[in-house]
Amino acid sequence: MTGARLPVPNPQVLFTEIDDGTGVLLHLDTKFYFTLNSTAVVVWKALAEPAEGVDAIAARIAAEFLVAPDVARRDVTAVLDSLLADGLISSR
Amino acid sequence: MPAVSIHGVTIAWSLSGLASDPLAEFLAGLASASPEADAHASPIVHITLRPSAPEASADPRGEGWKPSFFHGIVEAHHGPRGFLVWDRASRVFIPHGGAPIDAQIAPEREVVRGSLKTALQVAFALALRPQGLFHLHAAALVLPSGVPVFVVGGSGAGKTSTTLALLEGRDASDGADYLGDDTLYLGRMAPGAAAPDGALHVVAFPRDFHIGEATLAAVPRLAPLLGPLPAYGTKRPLDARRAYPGRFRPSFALTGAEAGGALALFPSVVAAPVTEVVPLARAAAFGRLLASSGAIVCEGVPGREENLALLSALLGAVRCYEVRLGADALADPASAIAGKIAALARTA
Repeated sequence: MTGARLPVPNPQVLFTEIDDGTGVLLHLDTKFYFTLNSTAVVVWKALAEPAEGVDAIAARIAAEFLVAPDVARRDVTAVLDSLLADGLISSR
Repeated sequence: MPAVSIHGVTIAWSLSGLASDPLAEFLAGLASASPEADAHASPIVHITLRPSAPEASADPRGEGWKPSFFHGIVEAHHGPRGFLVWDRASRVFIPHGGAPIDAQIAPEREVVRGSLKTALQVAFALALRPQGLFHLHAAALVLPSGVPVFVVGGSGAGKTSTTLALLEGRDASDGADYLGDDTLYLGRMAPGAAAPDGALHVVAFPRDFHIGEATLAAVPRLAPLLGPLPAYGTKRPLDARRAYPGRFRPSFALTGAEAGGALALFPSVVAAPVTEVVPLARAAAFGRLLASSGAIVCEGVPGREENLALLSALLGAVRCYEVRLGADALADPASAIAGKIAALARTA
């Protein structure tokens, strides 16, 4: 998951942001729910912004959560891989 | 025509060709209403009940209905005209757009005893969604201190054990009031109500509690009040109004003033000697609320966004705790559960 074009959210997935910055995804097809930590919420919300790429998201997370850019990039990639594996997003 | 009221919605029904009225008992805990007087003042859900034709036993898939969700033997199907709830003997058709619900019933042909009641519960959960009322599989109580408490969990999680511990309290003067032990409806307060417009309205749908053997061992005084063991299942019914007279509450509003004060408890039974109450991450709590709102993921149900918004509002008004029920929860529920929850409530 390192390509420039980000995947898109599965329209069958509902996102709810929680008041502490975390979130929950509800997959209407599989009926499973998934909890997101606050960095994964940033990733999920960025998927709705077509101009964003992995590097831009990683830069945002690095700044917001005070982590090294390479760590942030690795984490963003891992989150996207997990979301893809669970059918929560799909490649464009 | 008999009628009852819930959250300002009138439920009125008529019988045709039936010897007994299954809704009279099923809806007995709700306040009586006059459909004629309320016809222009509040929404009405009309139900007609009639004997089930033999064809009602046929699988609705053969008529083009699509399965939406199953609850044991009871199946809910959807189609362009509405929902059809089927227990293999009876059929309840809930049309879109508020037309009268057509219940063809045959309790005498039930394949699993009690399935008609379950079918009616499912039908009400579907019929009330367009009226802004959304089912939540949870208990709700109000502690003597005024703190509202939700108890959320699936079957076997310890929901009723936790609820009974709070009803019994630490002593005779300390028991909570209750809305119910497993069926609630969530809605918004109507304009003009005592609570602010849009406040979360938590509404009881009165029905018997169901008590398993282990739970009964923790509260043995309830034994003489229990109904007989049904032909299916391992839990006996308890008429909570008899067990806890004067402590039923039909509803309460969460206005926001309780924010931080109200509690949501998520029990689970663990292999440990001592019960522990530990904070639960809010996203995990929301996930469990979703899991207790089964209809939200079902094919074709209306009001999904509103249902999610109500659950978010509920989460925003509560502090969330996991209650890990150890062996002491049954041996000494007053200390293991009631005392710990009362202490939590005081920390708001």
